[in-house]
Amino acid sequence: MTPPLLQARGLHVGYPIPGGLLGRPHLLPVVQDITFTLQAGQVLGIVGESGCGKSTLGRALLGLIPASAGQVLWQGQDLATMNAAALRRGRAAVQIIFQDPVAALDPRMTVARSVSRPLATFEPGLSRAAQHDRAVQALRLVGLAPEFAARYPHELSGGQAQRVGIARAIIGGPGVIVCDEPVSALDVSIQAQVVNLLMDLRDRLGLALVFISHNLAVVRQISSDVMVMCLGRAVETAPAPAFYAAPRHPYSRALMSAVPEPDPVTERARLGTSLPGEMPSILHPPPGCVFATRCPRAQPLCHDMRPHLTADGPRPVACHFPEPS
Amino acid sequence: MRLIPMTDSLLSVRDLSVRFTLPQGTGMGVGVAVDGISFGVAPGEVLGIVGESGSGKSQILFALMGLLASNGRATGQALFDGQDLLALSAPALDRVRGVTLSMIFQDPMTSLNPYQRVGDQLAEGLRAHQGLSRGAARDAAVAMLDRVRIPDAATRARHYPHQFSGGMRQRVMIAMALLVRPKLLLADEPTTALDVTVQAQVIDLMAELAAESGAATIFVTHDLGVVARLCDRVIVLYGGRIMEEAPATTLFAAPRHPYAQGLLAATPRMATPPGARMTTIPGTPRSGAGGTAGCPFAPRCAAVHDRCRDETPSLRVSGPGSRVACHLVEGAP
Repeated sequence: MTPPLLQARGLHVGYPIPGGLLGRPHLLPVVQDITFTLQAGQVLGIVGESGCGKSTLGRALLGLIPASAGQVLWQGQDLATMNAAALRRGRAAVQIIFQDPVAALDPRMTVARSVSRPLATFEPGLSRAAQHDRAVQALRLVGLAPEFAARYPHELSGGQAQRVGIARAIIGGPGVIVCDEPVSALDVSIQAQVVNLLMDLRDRLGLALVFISHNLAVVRQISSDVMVMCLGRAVETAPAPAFYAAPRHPYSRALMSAVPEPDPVTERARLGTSLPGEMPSILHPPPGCVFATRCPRAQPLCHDMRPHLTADGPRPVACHFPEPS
Repeated sequence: MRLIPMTDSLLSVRDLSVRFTLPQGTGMGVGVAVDGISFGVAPGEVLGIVGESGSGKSQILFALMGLLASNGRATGQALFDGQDLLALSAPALDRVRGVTLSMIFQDPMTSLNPYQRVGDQLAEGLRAHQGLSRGAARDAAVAMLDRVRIPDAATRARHYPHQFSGGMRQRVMIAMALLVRPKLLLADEPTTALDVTVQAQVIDLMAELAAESGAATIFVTHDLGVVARLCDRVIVLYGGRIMEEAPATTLFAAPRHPYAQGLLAATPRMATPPGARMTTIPGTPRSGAGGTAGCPFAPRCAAVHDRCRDETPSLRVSGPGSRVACHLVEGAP
């Protein structure tokens, strides 16, 4: 059996901050104890609000930020054990697209050069003409005509720039693309185009995607599985249909009812139901459940003891008093 | 459903255009952001203006507030409280802004003075416009911070903006805008930069305060979901022109304009079957307006025909309280 394309096992990521014991820097835990497995064709939606660690997790999956504990595995191989050359080759298989599509492109490079740039690393020795042809091919796959090859980023709309970013990500023939808020900066009508494109590429190229977003409605369209993060931890993971039919964690439920839907009847009924309070700071996380301070169902136990994401059964949830599955 | 005859309007905008002189060398000369639009706002109502980037939605608010960039110019008429906002001198405008007309911006961090305590920033408006004493203004500021549910308002009033979270800063902005008891509040994407659960809190707060104070609100946003939650009436803007205007319940139940229909269909919702392809509008939103004949949406419209490219459709009454600018929609008499 072939190993999964991408795996995280008990992954922790921290940023060094000054002011630890004896003035030594210590690690601020931003991502804690994340475990998942991604197979070809799967789309894992990672949902959460600002500061929940979802983007840091995305970068750690690419090895752009080192894990402070646990492992990231590309096709069964631990990133931490790979040397620079193996990492370089491996990157052809795991790519990323970013939230701000224009900032992700070099303003002084033509679209063709930006798109074909990864080939210099992954397939050295390819002629310039061959690189250009491959770039045009990749552009065609993302729905851009060959004349875009000669353009510069400032000549592109946000949606076109994101397509260029996707072309650059697929040119090396990856198995996995980590999409970090890929449609958040785009207009609604363009958002739908880009989500559809990602679904098409998943089907045509057999890609697996990690789709990081704060928008539960967009995640619902594209994901086969969902992970909800809160203050660095996964609080619920589930197959997407089961999750959307009946979220188990109170935070998942709160997120779902907070997303405004284009329907005045539903929405008017939701006025006045917002959850009070704010997320606690990651600098001073509560001793118990990360959501306890805002949770409408919190009991004394929730403030004292952190619930773990229990892996028994098909619907793991980190809650002492979850909704039944 | 509310019907708003223009005569009862608190604000009556007529033929508003916003043009920008573009730098030489761009070969464009003048850019049109808003292209001759007319609408009214009744006392106490919440009007949503929805559009994608480049539709001109924010420029409408900037024009009303006299805050256009230095190369921008607004023409037309905006009657508010018996005065034309577009014709007022700077000192006269200052007697309206921050008194009966106030505004909330998208990014609260760049709208607050980082060097000044939050309480002092709130009190400043009251002292300048209403001549309150220092002590009375401070008390009013603290009471308002408490009203927008800033915990421990008296202490927080002595803090600086960087000591507040994004959601708290937006509450401060709302407190500041409402402190002067305006008749009309202009809100430019005030919840766009916030997380969804915090956005829900701020929307709840705005709905509550609007009902309590009786102030009318123009709420500019790209998010149809937010409009559905908060607004009584909606204007859908594209290419600097009004495509459709209707009571919120009517617009969401039965949009008439192809752009309004497309926008609604493209908005992801929890009810659509997961895994299905999303409905899209082909092409790219146009930035700016004018310059070409015909309907601004024609290049992206699935129902386009020859007349749409030659002749700009006028905004016609299409039902009770509704107007549509589309050749395909038959107007009601």
